[in-house]
Amino acid sequence: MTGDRHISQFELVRFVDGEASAEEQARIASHLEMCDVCREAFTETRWASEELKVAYESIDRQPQDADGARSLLRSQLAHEGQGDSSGLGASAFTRTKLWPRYLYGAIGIAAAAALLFFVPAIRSSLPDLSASLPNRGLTPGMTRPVDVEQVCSAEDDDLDPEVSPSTQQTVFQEYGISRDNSARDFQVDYLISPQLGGTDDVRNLWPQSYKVTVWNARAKDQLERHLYQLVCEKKISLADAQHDIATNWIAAYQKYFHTSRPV
Amino acid sequence: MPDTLPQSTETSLLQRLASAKEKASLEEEVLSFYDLFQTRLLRYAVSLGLKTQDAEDIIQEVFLALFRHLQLGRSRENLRGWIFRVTHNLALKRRIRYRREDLADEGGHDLLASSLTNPEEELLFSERQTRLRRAFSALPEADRLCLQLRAEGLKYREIADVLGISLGSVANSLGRSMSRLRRSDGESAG
Repeated sequence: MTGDRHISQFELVRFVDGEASAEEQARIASHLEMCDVCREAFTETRWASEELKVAYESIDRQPQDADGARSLLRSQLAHEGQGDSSGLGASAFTRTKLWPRYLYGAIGIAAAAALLFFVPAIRSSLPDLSASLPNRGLTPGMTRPVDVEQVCSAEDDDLDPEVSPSTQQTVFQEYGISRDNSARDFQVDYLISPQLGGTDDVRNLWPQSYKVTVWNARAKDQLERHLYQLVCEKKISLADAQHDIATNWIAAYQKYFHTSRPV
Repeated sequence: MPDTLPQSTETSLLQRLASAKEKASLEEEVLSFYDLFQTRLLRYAVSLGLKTQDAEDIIQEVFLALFRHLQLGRSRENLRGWIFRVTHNLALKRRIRYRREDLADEGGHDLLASSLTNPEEELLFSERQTRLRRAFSALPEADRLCLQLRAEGLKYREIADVLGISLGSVANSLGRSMSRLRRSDGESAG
């Protein structure tokens, strides 16, 4: 009975993978010993399996910043389960923590608030508004683990340290901006400024259009300096500053300067 | 009565110390899992059509979820399958968002096919290997995922859990795929 019928492809794969029952494994093994056709099928199946495995394993995917990714996880783990869901710490502004539910809500409220502010000049300011804000899916904001003391004792006050050309290129690519238009029409800007703990990770960088007139880089620099001052004067927490600027920097400007338009 | 207060304080301090130690060791355990799996998960998430950065984000999320899972004392059985399943589910969610935001890159996720787009690289493969890769790329996504998870060393039960299909469907998919892969080899050779 054992050697009569050929082994099906389904049986062969299960046999190669060691997934057949003990009884089935034994039956197939003994059939293979006496059947050339099935033995050839078995050899081919095993070859294809191994070949696919090698091909698949040769696809080498590494995080863009392996050490950074590991430290980020370490710091997020350290903040886990401390019983304070609001004090998520410096690394909280990755998409992993706040994205999407929380941010969508905040963005919705901020967008509605921005619309209300802009009702008299809605036609002219809407394109400017949308061009002034990053795509939150691509640029949620990224921070390094720093505390207020470190932030406030830092001497470097360059709001926009230079971003390497390759990183800039990655940002342009993510946003689907062609090479021709990139440098001419956009500058790569930090969403959370380095002074507030922002990193030069592409998730904290976005192409800011030179063409916007109202909510431009100058207004954002103003906000960054103001928030920095508020943080160091302990009027607001560093986490709040990072959160507000990452969620919608225009709404943050309006909130902290108590104005609907840049001062 | 006066004795009980210091004792209870001491007990509570000791308990807190023990729980801090426990947490630290759990963190280390999760990081070891991360070291072991992150490259494989990144590859898998990218093969599901994610941009590398989003795949990286998702992997962070997976290991935070693993930490919570272990901290809550949930099952430690088959954590490998669990990790792949959570990655799979989060990647699909992200993919749905791509579609909504019109970021879907339909052709970008077939990793083996993309290794064939460079003629110089293609020279590295024998004709037979090239045919196999092409046949693999022509398979439906569900079948490709079964083969990929199998290539990652997952057992059929784990593959079924990750993909949310039955054990029989996994075996059928693999048998069917293998039959097509072998057939394409024979046809092209003949």
